[in-house]
Amino acid sequence: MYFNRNESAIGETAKKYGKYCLTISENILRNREDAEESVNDAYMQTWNSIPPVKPSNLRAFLGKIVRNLSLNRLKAQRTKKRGSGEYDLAFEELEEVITSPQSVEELVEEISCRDFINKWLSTLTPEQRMVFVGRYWYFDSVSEISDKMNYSVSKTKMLLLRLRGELKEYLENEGIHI
Amino acid sequence: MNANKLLYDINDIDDAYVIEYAERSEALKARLVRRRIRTWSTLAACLVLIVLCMPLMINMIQSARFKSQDVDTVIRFESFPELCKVLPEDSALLNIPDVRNAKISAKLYCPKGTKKIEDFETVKMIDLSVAYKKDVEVFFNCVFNEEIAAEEYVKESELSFFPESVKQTVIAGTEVFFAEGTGPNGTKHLAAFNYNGDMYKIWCYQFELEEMVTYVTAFLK
Repeated sequence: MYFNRNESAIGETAKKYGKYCLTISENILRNREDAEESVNDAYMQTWNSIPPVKPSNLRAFLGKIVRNLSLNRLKAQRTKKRGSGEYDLAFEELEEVITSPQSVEELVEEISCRDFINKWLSTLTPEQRMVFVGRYWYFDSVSEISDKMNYSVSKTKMLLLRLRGELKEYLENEGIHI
Repeated sequence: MNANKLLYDINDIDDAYVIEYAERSEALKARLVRRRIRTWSTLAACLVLIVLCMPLMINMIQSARFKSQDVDTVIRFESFPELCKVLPEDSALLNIPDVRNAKISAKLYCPKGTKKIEDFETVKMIDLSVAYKKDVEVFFNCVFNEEIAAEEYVKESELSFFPESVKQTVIAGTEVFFAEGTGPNGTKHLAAFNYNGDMYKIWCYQFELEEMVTYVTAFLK
């Protein structure tokens, strides 16, 4: 429908993936109205991107746009005082992974560690990967992940701590460190 | 690199990992919901079962209080004149109203090994039903040397008798408690009283309260 420039494509997308997109955005923004706006922006961006882009999986494609737009919106909105959303908590947790933000930023700012993260993710078990992606991609709360995985909250927290340590070690081994 | 950039870079992980979480978490969530429904259904079913079995359990517990190990021989009587031969001369059961025109069935609970009642003092309890014409049947339960007060019995059996239905009156010098409750055959009216150290319970499914009062009055006078 996108390739035929059929305008009902957006409506159909909203019908099929609206809830999914809204959950991602709400996890980041913690505000329904802002989340709805981000999701609408994501639909527009999707409409403008396809074609020429031909996503292999529309759901993941849409999810990534929503996540990115929501992060941007949050970045723009943020005052000096940090909020209490899952983004902020996840952000604080991931700060542990980065040894020295200032000095490294200057050196490797242009390097995307996407490939390294993908490689590292491929070394994990599906359960470990689910917990990591749930927390740092979807920004689900620890208790939500525990519910979904049928783990205790403390087990999930411990697993996340271990995974952050492993990611840090992996990135350092790949040269992303001081 | 800083944590912010790392969070952005995580955005570009393989689609497969993004979809893996979405699909598997949906499946896990559905499984969790099914499990919760199953757990709650089981709990609800157990609760219903307990509520349904409660009256039966109460009856069993109450019966067990009387049917101790030394009272497990039952001697039956199907004729009132035969029963009168073993009852003491001062027994209140001899005053059952209009009993000569009724069919009776009596069970006397005696100590283990009793073949014949030679000493009525050994009888612990009597269950007696008196069937009158017009399908009226009155049941008696008499526990000899019972320590439990009739008031206590009626008030402790709140699940069997409606608490608001309990009424107390004195008939011929005996304090009698009347109560309405449910039994296996529907709604019953019951009278309970202590008489000469024994406890009597009389109940009937066909009587209303007034008829029950009249019957007990005739019995006690």
